[in-house]
Amino acid sequence: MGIRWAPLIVLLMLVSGCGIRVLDPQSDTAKVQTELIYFSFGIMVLVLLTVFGLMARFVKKYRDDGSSDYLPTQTEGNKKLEITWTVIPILIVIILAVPTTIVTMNQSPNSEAISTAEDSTGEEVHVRVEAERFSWTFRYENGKTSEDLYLPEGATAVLTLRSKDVIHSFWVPSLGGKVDVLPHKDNVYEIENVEEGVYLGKCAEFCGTYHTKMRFTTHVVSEQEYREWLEN
Amino acid sequence: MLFGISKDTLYQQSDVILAWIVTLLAGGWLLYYITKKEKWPLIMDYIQSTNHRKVGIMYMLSGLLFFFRGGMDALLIRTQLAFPQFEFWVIQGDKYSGVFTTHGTVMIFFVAMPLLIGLMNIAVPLQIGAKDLAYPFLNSLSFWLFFSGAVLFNLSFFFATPPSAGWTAYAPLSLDEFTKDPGNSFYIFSIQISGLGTLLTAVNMISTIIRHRAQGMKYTRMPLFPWATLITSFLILIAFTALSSGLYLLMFDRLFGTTFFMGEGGNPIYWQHLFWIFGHPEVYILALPAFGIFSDVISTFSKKVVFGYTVMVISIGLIGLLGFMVWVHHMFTVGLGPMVNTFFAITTMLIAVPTGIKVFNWLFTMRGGRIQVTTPMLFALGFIPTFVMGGVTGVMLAIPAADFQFHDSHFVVAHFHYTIIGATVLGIFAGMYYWYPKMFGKSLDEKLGKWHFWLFVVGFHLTFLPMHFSGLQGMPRRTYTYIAEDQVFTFNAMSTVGAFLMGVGMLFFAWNIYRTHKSSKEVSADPWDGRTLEWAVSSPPSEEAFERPPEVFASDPLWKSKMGEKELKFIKSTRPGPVATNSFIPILFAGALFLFSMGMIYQWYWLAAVFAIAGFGLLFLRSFLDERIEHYKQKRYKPEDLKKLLHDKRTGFFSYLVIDSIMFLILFTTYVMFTPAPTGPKPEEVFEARTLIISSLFLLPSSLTMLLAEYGLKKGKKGALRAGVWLTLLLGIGFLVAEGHEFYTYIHEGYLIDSNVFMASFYVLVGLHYSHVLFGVGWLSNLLIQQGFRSLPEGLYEEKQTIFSYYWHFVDLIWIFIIGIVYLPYLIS
Ligand code: HEM
Ligand SMILES: [Cu+2]
Ligand SMILES: [Cu+2]
Repeated sequence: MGIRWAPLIVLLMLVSGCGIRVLDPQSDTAKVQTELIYFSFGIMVLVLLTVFGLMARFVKKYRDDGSSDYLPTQTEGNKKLEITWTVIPILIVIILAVPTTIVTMNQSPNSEAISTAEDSTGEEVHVRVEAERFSWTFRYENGKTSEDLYLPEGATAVLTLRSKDVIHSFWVPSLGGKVDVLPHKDNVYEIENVEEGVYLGKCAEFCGTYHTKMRFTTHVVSEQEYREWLEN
Repeated sequence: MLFGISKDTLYQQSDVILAWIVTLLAGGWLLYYITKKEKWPLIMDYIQSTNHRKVGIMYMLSGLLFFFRGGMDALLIRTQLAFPQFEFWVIQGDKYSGVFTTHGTVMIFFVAMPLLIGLMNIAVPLQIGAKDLAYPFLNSLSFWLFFSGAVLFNLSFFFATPPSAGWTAYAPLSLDEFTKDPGNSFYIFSIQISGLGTLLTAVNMISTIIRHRAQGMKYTRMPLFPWATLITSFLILIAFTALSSGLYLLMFDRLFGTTFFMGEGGNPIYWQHLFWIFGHPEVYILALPAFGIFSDVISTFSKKVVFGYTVMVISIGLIGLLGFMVWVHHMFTVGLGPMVNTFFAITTMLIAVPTGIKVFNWLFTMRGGRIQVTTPMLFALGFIPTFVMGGVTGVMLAIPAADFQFHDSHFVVAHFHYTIIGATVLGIFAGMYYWYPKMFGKSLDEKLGKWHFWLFVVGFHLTFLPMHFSGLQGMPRRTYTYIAEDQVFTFNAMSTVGAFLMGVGMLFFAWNIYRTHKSSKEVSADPWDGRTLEWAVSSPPSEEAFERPPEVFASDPLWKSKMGEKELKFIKSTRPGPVATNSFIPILFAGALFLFSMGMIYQWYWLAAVFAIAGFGLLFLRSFLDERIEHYKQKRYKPEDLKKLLHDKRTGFFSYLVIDSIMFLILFTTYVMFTPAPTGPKPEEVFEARTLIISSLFLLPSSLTMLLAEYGLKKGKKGALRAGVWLTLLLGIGFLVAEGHEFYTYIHEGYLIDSNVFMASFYVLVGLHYSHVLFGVGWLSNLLIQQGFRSLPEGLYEEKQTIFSYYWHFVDLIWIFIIGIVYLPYLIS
């Protein structure tokens, strides 16, 4: 059955897919997000296995093979069973809701800076992100601008984003999720404790003809390299 | 150079040129074929028909036609994405935007919707023992509205300007500042017209199910497909009205210089709210009917009653209800703040509960049964795991922090195809194989059906499973290529192969249909050993099938009668049924709206004006050709029958009023949100107490005069009736003059619709109310002319006037709200 080997592929891909960017996070912010993904995926695999298992069993066992034409008893329901599969999903939702609420309260982008950075160790680096069809401009505190994003290792990036035209969305999969870049209002998004490396960045909200090409690179470099780059 | 067109442009437009050539050739061949086979009478018959089966078949045929269109687009998308930095034909840049926008819009509005509505048309009346839908004429009108909207949409590609801002048409990208060519105007008008058709269908379905069930068909005995249809129709009333209102505002932004969704006073996020208040319920509008089909199919082919029937109904209701409280999960990255995100995350997760309940009930319907793996059942068996996979990724997407990663990536593309194809499309296929006998009196071939299933489902998983991973690997949706470093090539290559496999599966389906119609094998009334009423009438049913409806004594009455529990009796109908007719007015009216829209899109306002008038002319004509006039004259209904008929009409009309109320609610919200505007005219300087008082002195008393007319009607007092009606008309006209004068003064003083968003939201709201009064005055005059010209039969005039009075009171009520919300706060201060 085509469907039955589907979960197998999922597992295979997961095993082979260590290089998948979102699943290989490079900042504290992204790590929390990835943990949530794994956590929910784990629970969901249980759900999938239950459904697939029951279905496979029932179809196998009760399939009409033409050998008899018995009349099934017309069971209209079963209180106990029905309560079971009402209560269990509710429990699952509760289990999921707790970490969801905590992380969402911490991470949701907003129009003002959210100071969760208090508990993070690194320094804050403030960058203004300006999006325009079809390019990015990053403006640093000393007035320097660049087309690629530079950040010092271990820092907390506090990004203030604004668009000059339509809606865009800022996304560096390895460093964290998206935040929309709006024309009429600032959004502030924080990425904590970034790790050294070079990461792809993209516009994730469709913005017109060359949306595809609205990309940038993020360089997270050592503190010293960052200083040097900033001064030049 | 050819006629001054360079080779490059010619190549750039080769897709459009090819489309023209192919369409003309195919069209020519079709005309030839129809003429040769002498099928014109048949086609004319269908065009005019109001019969639910025939209208249903037209929905199915056009849905399949557009499926072909949307499928071609899907294959173009997949080919372009097959390799890194691939340049397939011309499908890059704007062309690609056009292709995915068209694909998405066509699939949702012109494939999934009509195919489901088609199945509802065919099956629902039969399943509840109704003779036809409650308003047959309206049904035909709905179809032609849908169809002309769909044709309009498709036309944009032939003019080389397809809409290009995605099926979500996010502002400000969808506004003329950023997408100048008329593509997105095509989007606005085509969806508006076909959406109107969908709304009217919902009104019709609601009235049919509430009013026309056979004797004994209690709600607790109704099969689950009609149940799903009923609840879906309520969802449509609300959701499609939100969409209509959004499009109405978007139209002003695009064509008339307002700035609801952009600029200083406007707010692009407001469009997103309106769109998703429609958009999320829409996915349940697509899913619930499919759930209904699967419930019936699984029960039939397991030879068991549905497990947990009551809970199944309740969960459909709960899903529908919760469906309206989750729309922000499409906007987690917008920056609405942590509280909002958390709230909508929790509501979204909650939907998983009733959905999960349904899945287990389906599974336990099979348990202990005798499962016959026919083609419809096979699709049901494919549905359960596929849809559940889409469901679990849905729960994962509900977690905002995780969604920051998933959002707008191919992960989401995978998710919604798992739900839409897993539920809706597989449900449509199941329904088509299942009810094919009721459509044409023939059965689709089982063997080809199984080929269709396996190729389609295997192809499906091959296409969409890898997209989860390309999404996590960082591939945004709506991008026309990627580079090797993105490391998404393998996933994309798999997807492309899978898509073509699905295409081959669809070829088997097409072949199956062709073969079936070539063969002369007829099928019996009850080929599947069914349980519900549609299997109690011949295949296909005659138009008089339920002239004598069955007396329903239990759920699954046919099954129980076959088991010898009790005989299924057909009895004399206890009430007047819907009146069938043949009419060209629906197609003409839809055609007028089509040309009106063309006029608006290209801003040839004279054309728009001509066809707007033509449209009203057709409505006027219609009132004289109303088939019920003759019918009532012949039948001479008894008072209690007349009461029932009025009640039928009222159910539909109140559903319509729900639509209208929601539209006004949204416009009031718009007004409150945008007033006062940061710049430009202030309400205090614009409004004047005097004009308000004068207009109100006309409109408010007219409700009283209408009451007088109703009193006259009830007590048979001709004088009161006459006076009431004429006074209402005069007062209405007085209001039109006074209010018209107010607009005139404002325009004269330079307070225009594009002055600022306060003026804009004033005009779109008060102007809409004004057109309601205008329409009401026209309606009442029409009624008076008709009555004076050739008096309406007993009962019909009463009905028409009563319905009109509801309308009039409603319009008055809205005026009271306008006074209180629009004017007073600024006149007092
Ligand atoms: C038959 C096979 C299908 C294939 C291979 C396919 C493929 C795709 C792909 C690759 C995209 C993403 C395009 C992009 O983001 O660049 C897409 C978008 C979409 N598809 Fe499909 N699709 C199929 C069928 C359907 C069906 C049956 C429906 C709904 C009934 C549907 C609804 C949509 C929608 C709504 C979008 C979003 C369009 C947008 O972003 O504006 N698709 N499809
Ligand atoms: Cu962009
Ligand atoms: Cu949704």
